[in-house]
Amino acid sequence: MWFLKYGKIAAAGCALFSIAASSCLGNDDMAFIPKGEYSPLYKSSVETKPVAVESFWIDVRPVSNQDFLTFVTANPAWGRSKIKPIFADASYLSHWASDTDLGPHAQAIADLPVTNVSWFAARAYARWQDKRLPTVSEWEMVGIASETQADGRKENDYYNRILEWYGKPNRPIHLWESDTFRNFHGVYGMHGLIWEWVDDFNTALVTGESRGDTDLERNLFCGSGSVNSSNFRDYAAFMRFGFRSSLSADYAISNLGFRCARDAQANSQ
Amino acid sequence: MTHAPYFKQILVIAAACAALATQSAHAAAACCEAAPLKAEAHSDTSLFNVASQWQNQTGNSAPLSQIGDRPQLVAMVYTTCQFACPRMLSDLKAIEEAMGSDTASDYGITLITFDPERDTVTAYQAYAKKQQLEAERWTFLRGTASDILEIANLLGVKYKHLPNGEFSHSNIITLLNTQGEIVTQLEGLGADSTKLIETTKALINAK
Repeated sequence: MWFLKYGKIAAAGCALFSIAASSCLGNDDMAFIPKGEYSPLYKSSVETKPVAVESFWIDVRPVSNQDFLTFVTANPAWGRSKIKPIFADASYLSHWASDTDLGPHAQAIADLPVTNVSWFAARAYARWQDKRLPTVSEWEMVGIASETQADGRKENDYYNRILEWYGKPNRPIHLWESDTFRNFHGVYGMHGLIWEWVDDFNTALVTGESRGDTDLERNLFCGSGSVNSSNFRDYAAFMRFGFRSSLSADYAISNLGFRCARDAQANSQ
Repeated sequence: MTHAPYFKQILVIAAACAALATQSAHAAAACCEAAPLKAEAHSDTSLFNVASQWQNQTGNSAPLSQIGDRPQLVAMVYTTCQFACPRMLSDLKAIEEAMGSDTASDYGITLITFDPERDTVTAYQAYAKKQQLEAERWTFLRGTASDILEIANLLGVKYKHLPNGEFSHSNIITLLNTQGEIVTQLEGLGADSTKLIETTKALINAK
């Protein structure tokens, strides 16, 4: 495929083009991710090969409080006083002062990632932007990049830095630093600030804790009997996997936000 | 490598960018014009709040509230499943039998497919015939992959599309009332359905 080979050139080409047109594919704040492969952390008996991931675009930064405010203003049904409880729990946008008021730290948090948003709300935002949420495979493929290479897992430092963050207690939102590391793809904040929703977070067919995987649970699930980890070293990925499998789509959590993605299929033809 | 093909790639890409920029502008316009607030008001916990359209076995598409004419036992399956779904179906048939004939038209059973690609209306009709699923009782619903993911999350069903075309999935039967609210759920295959049957009958009698 020429596309794999010229993925970087495509990105560069678009960057050049965007200077002239001030817009490239309408993806101003998105980074192009060339097609590649992702090895799922857990493999079932039928998933022994890495998953092929088509090229796509991903937001360079997570969606900010200001971005989300614009969305809620245009779509009042997603305001925290109006949202139907099946689409978000009581913590939805609880760090804001009202439906359209970011609260006492408005200036400090405006450009920081929005959190306390449910999966349903994140999907609604993405749809409104003519985008979608990234899949687990896509997110992880971007997430494994270090500053200098597409697969940072070869660097010892990569694991250490992520784990260091996972070990830190949460800070109040307004005290967050806005720019964590910029990775190989030019994408910011994949690690170090928030956890992020992915579209198919509910595909992890193991229960939140190992003690829960009883016979009863095995009866509940189909085809998930044999799971094997592909990389025992990647504790960070284990933690993300565990975190995702503990979520319910209506959860709004103070350190869980999202970013959007978009297909790049039209490019590869 | 010569410079010529390299340069050509950039041109192709620039052209593709321009084409797509136009395309996505149209898509954005379409998205924002068509964001109607639903005229029909559903309760806070009603699954009928979803905006998605669902095609049933007659081929017609309608909002999820199309199954709100009576209480429904809802399960997610796919018809080519060789493992869990046949057991799920036999569980549902056992419930149907236990419900008895006196409640004949007072409740329905809805199957939502995981697999909209293979489970077409025609495929379901063949399946229903083979499994002897009466159309008055059994409703088949088919949506887009994205809408199926949403309804699965509302029902608490986890699933994964595997590379071999099969689906791993949790097995849950949900009782919905006519408002589209979850009344109770039964998890697992071959689980004791006594309470579910009692609750369904109580719901029918309370009408």
